[in-house]
Amino acid sequence: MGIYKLEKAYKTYKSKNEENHALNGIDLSITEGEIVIILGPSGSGKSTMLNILSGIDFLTKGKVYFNNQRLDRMKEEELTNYRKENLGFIFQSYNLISNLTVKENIELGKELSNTPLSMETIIKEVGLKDHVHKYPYQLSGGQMQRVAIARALVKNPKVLFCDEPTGALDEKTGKNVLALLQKINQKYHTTMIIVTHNPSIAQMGNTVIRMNSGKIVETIHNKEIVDAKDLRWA
Amino acid sequence: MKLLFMNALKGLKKKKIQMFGIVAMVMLSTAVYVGMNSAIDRLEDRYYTYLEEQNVEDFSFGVNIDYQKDIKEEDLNYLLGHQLKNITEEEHYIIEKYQQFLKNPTYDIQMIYSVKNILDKYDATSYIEEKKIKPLQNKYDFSYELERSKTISKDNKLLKIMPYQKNNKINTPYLVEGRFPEKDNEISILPGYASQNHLSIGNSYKINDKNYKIVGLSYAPDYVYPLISFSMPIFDEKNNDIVFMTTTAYEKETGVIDNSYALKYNYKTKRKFEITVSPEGDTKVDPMFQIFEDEKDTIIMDMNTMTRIGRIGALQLEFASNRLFAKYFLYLLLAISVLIIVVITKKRIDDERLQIGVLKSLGYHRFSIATSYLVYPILGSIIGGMLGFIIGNFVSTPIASILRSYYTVPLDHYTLNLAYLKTSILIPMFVLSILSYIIAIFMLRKKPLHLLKEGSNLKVNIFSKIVNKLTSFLPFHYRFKYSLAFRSFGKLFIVTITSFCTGLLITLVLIGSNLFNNVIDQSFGGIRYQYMVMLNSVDDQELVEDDKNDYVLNTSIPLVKVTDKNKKEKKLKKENNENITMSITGIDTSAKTIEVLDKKDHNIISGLEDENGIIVNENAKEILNLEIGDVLTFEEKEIKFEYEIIGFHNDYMGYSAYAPRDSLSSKIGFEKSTYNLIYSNDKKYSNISKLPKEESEKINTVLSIKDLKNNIQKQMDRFNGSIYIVIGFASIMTLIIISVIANIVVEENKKTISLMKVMGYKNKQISNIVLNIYTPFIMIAYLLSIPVMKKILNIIVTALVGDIEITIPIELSKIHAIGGLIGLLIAYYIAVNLSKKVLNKIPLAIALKRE
Repeated sequence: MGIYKLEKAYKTYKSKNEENHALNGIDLSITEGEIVIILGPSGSGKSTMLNILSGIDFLTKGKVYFNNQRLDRMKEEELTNYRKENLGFIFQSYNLISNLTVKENIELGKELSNTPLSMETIIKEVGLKDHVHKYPYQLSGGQMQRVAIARALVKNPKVLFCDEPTGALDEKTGKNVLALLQKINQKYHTTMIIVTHNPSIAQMGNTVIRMNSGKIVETIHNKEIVDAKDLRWA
Repeated sequence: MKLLFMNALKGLKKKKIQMFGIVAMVMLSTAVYVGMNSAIDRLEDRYYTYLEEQNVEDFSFGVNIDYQKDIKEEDLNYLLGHQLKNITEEEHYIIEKYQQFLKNPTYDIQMIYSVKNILDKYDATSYIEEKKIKPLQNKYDFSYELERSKTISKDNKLLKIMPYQKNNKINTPYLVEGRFPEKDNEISILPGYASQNHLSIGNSYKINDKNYKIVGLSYAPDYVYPLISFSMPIFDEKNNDIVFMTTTAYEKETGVIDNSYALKYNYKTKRKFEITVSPEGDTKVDPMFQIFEDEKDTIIMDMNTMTRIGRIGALQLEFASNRLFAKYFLYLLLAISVLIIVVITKKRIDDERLQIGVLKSLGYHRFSIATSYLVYPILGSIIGGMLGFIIGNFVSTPIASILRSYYTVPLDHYTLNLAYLKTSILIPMFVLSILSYIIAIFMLRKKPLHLLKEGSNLKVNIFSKIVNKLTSFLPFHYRFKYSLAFRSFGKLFIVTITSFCTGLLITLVLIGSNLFNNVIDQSFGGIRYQYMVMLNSVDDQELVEDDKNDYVLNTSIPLVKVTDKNKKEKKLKKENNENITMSITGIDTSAKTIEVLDKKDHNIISGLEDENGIIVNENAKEILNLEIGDVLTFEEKEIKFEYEIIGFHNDYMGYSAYAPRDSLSSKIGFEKSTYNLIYSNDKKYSNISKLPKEESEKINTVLSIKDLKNNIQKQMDRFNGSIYIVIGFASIMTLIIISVIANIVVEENKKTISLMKVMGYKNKQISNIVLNIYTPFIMIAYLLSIPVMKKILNIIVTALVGDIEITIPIELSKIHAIGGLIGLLIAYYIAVNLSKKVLNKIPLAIALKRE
């Protein structure tokens, strides 16, 4: 079943004498429970795509659906509710709150949800049981990203948006994080949309969407999904 | 470094509110400083010149006449041929008896008072006084003149009339407009009174049913603060006037006579009165008053002396206190500005740590990097200082007018004093820059490698960790709030200190208002009479009993001993090594116009049925450590008597007591039922000029309680008005500071705010967590300020009035306290709401930015 759908989606940024088509007539469909990798170089429109799908930004033209609801017609408050009830986010720079402990950072996500998952389960899931009372400055990059994952996951979201989740990590740590995401997808059937410029990650996704200059240049449905730990890093 | 400076300047555009905060604080502080000082300059310089030009007295004095020693046979013979030429037979008989008495003088108070009455009645006393003063003139090199005046009270107006004498050398009247009176139907009046009552030169003016023509507007230079009567202690421009008329017209007018001698040394004296207190607590007055000590048998300080010092010198106190206020207010606001700049600088250094790390790695020293952070204090001082200077000059005129409305003194024309421009800009610039620079250098001390390390600024301080542990039981959003509050201790400190200082200011004015009301309530508590009529001398004629009048004997006598119930002598406090003088009022237990109230407001006058009982005031009780049952011994010359304390009345000024009138008369040596005061509700005392001559001649002063209460109430209303101004000002200051802090908090937490929006938190939830974090600290700071201000006031009051024998209760009602807190919180929530708009505008995309 399709959870997202984009129909003739355009996003144009206007500056003094120029127009920049960040999204240039995109048609797209994402199935629930999939891992979708959006791949492309810098400026290809993949972040814009993420922003449109997550309700952070608005289309200039076209339609965007989430579970058959038009996101492009929603008001600010409705979009906030949509993000609150359905989405989780993981960022390249983790975005942890420095004066909250690990447990409290995860609680920040839990507070939003009407049906949160168990904190203890999530903490155990991400392997941070021994670090709950530490502060972000006391953690490594990989550990911080695990906290971010836990924070996003505890909400029990339908969709997890991951913006370059391994961008700031070394290969080994990056693979561990991706493996965790894969595990979550398998266990909770959370739809995952991963934006990245790293082609190595493509093999772990059900669908890979290649973008360039605001257009989808290729959509690949992987017949074989590779385990994240076995990915060959570019 | 030029690049860093330019970068800092560009960054200012994004920090408008913070820059505005600094400019506003500098502007406020310099505006008050310039406004107050400019206003005072216009008055002060002119004031001292005025005192010199008008040859204002150094002080006034009374003359002590010892009726046993100072009057000789030849003096009486002279007087009988001159001033006492037309005395009655009975009075002649008394003078003859007195002549016999002088051959072998003993202390016969009845005789003395009888002779005094006669000499006062026929104005013969001045002959004796002049004889005593003249020898001292050469010894101390002074000139003197008798200053004559009469007080007339009618229909809420209080007038002081004086004879205008061209030849007077001391206290020469000052002409503002027109001319001085030459004819008997001409007068000159105060310009303020004329203006308030829509009078001008040429208009008619009625005094005691007689019409005069106004020919001039003038000041009496010995009435700089025109305290005309204690019925209206606070000068009321509309209802108080000083009138000059010809000597002939003056002699014909009736009123309460108020004469004293004005002394002016023939050499230049300091115009600034100085009173110093030694480490032992002794008060030493200015050397020019030493004559009172050295010649106390002749020259005495009386009520006139002190009031005239106040009349002339009160303005000096006003100048000194206002300048002090302006100076410390400037420093206070600058101190708060420094704190704000520290917070802003710290934030900038945190934001730019990578850049700073690179510069340091390249070899730039922290001293040179720190100079770029001088942008805020320099710009803030220049802009704020210039604006403050301009505003200060504008407000100096109304301030000068307000100051002058209490005083009669010429005002200099307005002149622009550019020296204050230097002060307005340079002092803030110096203070803010130096302190900011030092703090920036301290903050830049970290090594380049540490600064370049990612997340080097994310370390959590110890307070945050402790607070985290302490608040672990609270719901999540409270823990989050307090962790944000404690993350930046600097901001928390500023908010707390600001709230504390505002609380101090609010508490000060509210206690001040309460103080006035309390002292007035307690002072007027038992008074049921409208008029206190003070007679020139004692009287013991038979009186008709009526409901309107109570006859009272008042005397002041040194208290020499106190013994307790067990007849053990208590240590008695002395002042300047002399015994304390207690004012004892002899009243009848049947008195209708007064109640003697204790602390619980019970009337305890019936206790005076015990003819040896005395009721002492609370002030004396506290200072002298008295108890019921203590026996007080009073003694002066040959008079000595005792009373036992049977109660305490609710009065906090001086040392005073009530005793049974008959027994007091006897103990002093008077006839039974002697009196020298009348407490009256008889309206005839509202206009002395209408009384029969035999009656008005006996009266020294009439104090109208109604006028006094109205006068004080009017001042209270003015004071209450100024309370709202002070509270409003304090709230604005709080608003500015907290707005700046709230703005910094929003800026600092931009990424967190953006993240929370992305996650699905609503703006209202976010602002509640991020902005609304200081409420408990503000409440605690304010509540702490109350006992602190009470303590400070207690110390100040004790230091100021300790030797003047007043106990002043310092209280703040619960309603006032809550009102003050509400005012402060309103300012806080307005500031927070202003920052909410900024918070709501923070885009979600910030959270998605990659570093």
